[in-house]
Amino acid sequence: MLSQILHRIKEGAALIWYEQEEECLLCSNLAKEIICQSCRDLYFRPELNRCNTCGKLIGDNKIRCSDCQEGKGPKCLTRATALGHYSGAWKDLIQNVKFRGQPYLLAYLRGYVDDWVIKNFPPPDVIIPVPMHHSRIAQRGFNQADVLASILSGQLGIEYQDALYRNRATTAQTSLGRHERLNNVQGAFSLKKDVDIKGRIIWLVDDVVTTGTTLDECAKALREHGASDIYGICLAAGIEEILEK
Amino acid sequence: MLFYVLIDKEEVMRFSPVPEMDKLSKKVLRPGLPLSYLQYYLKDLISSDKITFKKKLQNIETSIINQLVKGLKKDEAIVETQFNWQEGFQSKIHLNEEIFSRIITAIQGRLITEGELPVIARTIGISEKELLVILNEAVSRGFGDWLPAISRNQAGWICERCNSNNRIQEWPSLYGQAATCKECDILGAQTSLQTIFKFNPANLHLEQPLLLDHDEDQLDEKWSIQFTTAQANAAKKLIEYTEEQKAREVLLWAACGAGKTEVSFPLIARYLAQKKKVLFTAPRQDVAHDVHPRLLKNFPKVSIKLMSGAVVQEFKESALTVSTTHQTLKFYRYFDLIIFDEVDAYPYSGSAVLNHGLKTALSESGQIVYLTATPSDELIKKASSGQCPIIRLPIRHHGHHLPLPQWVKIPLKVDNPLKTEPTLSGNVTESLDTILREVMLKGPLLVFVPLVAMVTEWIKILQKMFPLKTVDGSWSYDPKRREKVNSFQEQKYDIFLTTSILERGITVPGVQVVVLYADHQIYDVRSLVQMAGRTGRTIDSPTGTVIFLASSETKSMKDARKWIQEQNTFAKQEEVQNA
Repeated sequence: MLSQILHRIKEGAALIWYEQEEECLLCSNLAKEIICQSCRDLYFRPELNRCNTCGKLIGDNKIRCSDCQEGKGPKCLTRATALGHYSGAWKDLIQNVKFRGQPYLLAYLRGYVDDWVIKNFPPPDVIIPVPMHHSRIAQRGFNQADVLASILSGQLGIEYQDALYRNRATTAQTSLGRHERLNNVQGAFSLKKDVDIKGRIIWLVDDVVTTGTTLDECAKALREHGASDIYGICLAAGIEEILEK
Repeated sequence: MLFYVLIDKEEVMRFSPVPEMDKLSKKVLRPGLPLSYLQYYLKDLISSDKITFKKKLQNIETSIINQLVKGLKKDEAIVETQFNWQEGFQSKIHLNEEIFSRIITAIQGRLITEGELPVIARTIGISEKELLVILNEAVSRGFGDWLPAISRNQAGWICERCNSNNRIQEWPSLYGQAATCKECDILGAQTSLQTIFKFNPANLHLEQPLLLDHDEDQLDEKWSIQFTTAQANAAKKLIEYTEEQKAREVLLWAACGAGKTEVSFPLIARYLAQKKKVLFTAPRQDVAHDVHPRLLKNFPKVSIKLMSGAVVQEFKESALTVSTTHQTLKFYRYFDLIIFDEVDAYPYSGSAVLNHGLKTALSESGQIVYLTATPSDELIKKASSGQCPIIRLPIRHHGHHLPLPQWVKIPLKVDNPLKTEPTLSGNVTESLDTILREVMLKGPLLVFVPLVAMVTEWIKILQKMFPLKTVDGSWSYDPKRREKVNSFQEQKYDIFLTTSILERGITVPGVQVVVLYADHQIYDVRSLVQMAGRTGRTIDSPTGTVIFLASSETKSMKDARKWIQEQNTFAKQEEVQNA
């Protein structure tokens, strides 16, 4: 009798445990959080630092990546950071969002991504996405940076503003080298009319950062209109070359 | 992809992705919208044939704009709704007929998604824009249709590729709600903002290339394996039912290891010789990849294309296609004959989407041959009601019978769905040790466990039990799966643990099979028969041992023994007849 009761309790406990488990968004294994520990270790690389200026993943003994140390990095950003390394299943997820019409995948990161940002940066006055050119939005139907910014805004109760405007369609930054990237986006962004950001702290949101050129061009437009601090937030970044080997 | 509304001189409306290349357009409406939205918002203006207006409208142009603005507003779209009619263009570009027919040949029978366009353009060596112009020209000549990837109607969304509406994910877009189909997203997710090009075979008759130089009199002597009498008879019957009696569906029910794949080769050859298009498909990638080299070897003069999630897509015409069943969703009314191997295997079994794929890939007069060792109840019913002729091949190619599984009672239990690490009492460990040690004397051991998580746990246990043996294992999403399975086939492991992924198709000389937790609900009669069928597959070791380890005997276990016994009885009768 007693053993039967114990068995029942055990079964019940197993059920409760079972309900708490969910599938990891990246590897589909059962996990306690939306991204399991092993995927976090694999793609978020918590043991590595982020370059204080451009957000790139760097060695744990460094503060800035070599490019930023040599003064080639962003000038107008206060700081930038990235959640993970743009590789493997994490890269696949971001590409599924952008290129394979699944923006709703970002919604699964609700509660996780805002938790991470608020631990890294002081709370802002306003959250602003990196804008996309209207011709590209017309094709894709959404701007992934916009989706992410809205999620952060909704979760943290901080004002969201689609404040920036992309003046021209640019070539995808991924297909270009460092020097070309700068030329590609130079002067591509401006502030929309009737937007006041004077003296405000801003979180500037994008999906992927590589050299930080795009973020910096946006930050430039914001600075020109009196923004105080501008923090760049991205889901993924590159990793310093020396580390990759 | 955005489509633009065009009105031509005869006041006929069309939707085009390349309005500036359209020779006949009088007026163009800008900006464009995704096709699904255009079709939905303007459905009230047009009659069923899609292009002519229902009635002579006083002012067509204004009506179109009004409908679009009204629709977008209702959907709470945030896109600009400043529509303008512009004068149509006179195209200066002349279509190169040779390139046109080359491209149409390359994409024959295909259902092309927007995501595939850049790949096709790159393969052919033209720009995406040029490809769009060519496809649009094909549409205007009646060789194909533009369709929204996900169509919208009063009731909701429906995926035009997999015909499903039950796993549609909606999300807010620039145009209001948009939708993505999750049912077929394994082939690349598609949204309601995208378009597909569906080839229309009705109006096109292209000359087929020379496919096969085949001597029909020597059918059973040209193949890489020597046919047994039973195989030769089955192959003959298959031709009789399919080619001569023109049955729409034929079932070949063979014992595991009877060589059923090869039995279909003479039929394939006959169809290829008649310039018919043939598809060999199987639900699992392993099977498709295993069959491909065998087809290459047996049909050296035929162009054979392999399509699966693991290989880069080619766009070239081929007489014979080998693919996973998922890939059938990329075809439209194309194949004259489909050989469907392992028809009862996951994920096809019970999948409405793959069933749809198979049916639409088949040409209107097309035929299907099902090959299986364990037909579903549905197929057996079809066969016994006479709807589908059945051919039995109960004798294995080496003439030996299937090993009959033994049930060994041992108190092995999964007590907790989350706890994968089993607690084994001393007695259990001891009896396991004895049983496995004895079986291992006969050859390498293939051990099945019901859950993925158990593989690693049991590797540890068995490694500890047999420290001198090489123990490893694999599961469905193990990145080293192919590598490890190859090593096992080369007999580099003494014990190999796996889940049901290896229950089919694999041949390892001298292998012995043990099924742990054989009473687990995950095992049905078919998977148990398939697992048992891994033993005794080669001529050098035609027998073997199959052991079900479980605390009780389930109906599936009993049925599995019954099926195998029946197959063996049938084989005996057949042998007597053949003798």
